Amino acid sequence: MLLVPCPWCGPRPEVEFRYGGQAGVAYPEDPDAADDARWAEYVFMRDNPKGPLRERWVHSAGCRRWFVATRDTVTHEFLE
Amino acid sequence: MRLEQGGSRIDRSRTVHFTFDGRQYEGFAGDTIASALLANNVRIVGHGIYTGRPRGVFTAGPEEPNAIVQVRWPNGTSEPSLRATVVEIADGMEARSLRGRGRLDGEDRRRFDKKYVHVETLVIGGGSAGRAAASNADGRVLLVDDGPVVEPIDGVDVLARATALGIYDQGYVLVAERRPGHRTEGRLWHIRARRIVLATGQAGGTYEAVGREYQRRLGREGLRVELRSSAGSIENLQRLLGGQADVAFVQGGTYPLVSDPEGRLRGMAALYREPLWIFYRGQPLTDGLASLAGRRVAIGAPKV
Repeated sequence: MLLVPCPWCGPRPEVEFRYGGQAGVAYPEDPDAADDARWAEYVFMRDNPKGPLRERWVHSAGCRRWFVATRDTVTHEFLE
Repeated sequence: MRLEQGGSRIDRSRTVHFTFDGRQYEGFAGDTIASALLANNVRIVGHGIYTGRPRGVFTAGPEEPNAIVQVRWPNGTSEPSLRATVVEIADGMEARSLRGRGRLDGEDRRRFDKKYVHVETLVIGGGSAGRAAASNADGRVLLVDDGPVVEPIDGVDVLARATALGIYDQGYVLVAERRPGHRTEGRLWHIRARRIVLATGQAGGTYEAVGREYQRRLGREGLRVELRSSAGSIENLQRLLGGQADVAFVQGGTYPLVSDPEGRLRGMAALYREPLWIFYRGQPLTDGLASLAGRRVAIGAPKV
């Protein structure tokens, strides 16, 4: 079980958190102009790196804060 | 059969009655099913699953491959696939030898609980290496061991009858503790440890494992240790005399086989006793080892 570093509460067990997916996926700048491919890109496509990944977490069973953490997907280690 | 005296894990003043394969037996408090059966001259504890050949107790602990039993506890719960070398006997317990998987039957009315702890150092294994690691560690230290007895150590929490089930991310360890006679019969420990010491021993290459342990331990003190493998004790002694090594593991009794007229070699410490196994072909020896007089006996690697 991971130890997730909440910026407010410090390291807490994984069960207290919900995962929010990859961080930094931007909403299309001009939604009206975006075609299906652009929407599909926004809605479905995510990076799947072997290594560090920036991702969002929410401390749902704690302070309820959303935050971004970088996790190594190979070692499950949180970086920084 | 049982020795007339001795045995630090049993209490001879308290007898316990249990059954095995339908027959009533008597043991002492602290006996495992296996030790109580052996005390009652029960040598066959099960049968192989393919050909049905008889099987005896093979080990003295959780690594037991043969003595697998189904146990019906006094409260009616029946639990399959337990190792007779681990389970302690209790009054009214009904054990039976198991061939194959066994099955859960009856309602499980036992109670279990769980506990969360955080420690600086978790030591898994209560042998000499584990105990040394635990007493050298700083901060909050917990030592867990599979066996029924762990001698207390100053400044260390010890947990007996506790099996480490798995090591997960970021120092997370699950440990199952058996608690016979308590209101809750088992406890699952969720342990978060900064550092984990595995002192569970390794299969094969005992001396190498011991050497690695020293290397690791001394490395922490800033001493660099280089491991060199060799053909055996005699080569080790010769390397010591020749200055190619500073410290060596040597089997007891091999020193007279090398020449050291100036008496330069010194023993530092005895690590453990080692039984000597002698195998031979042919008829049973009538008067023990003396029958081997005049024969050639292979004792391991020859002189180098």
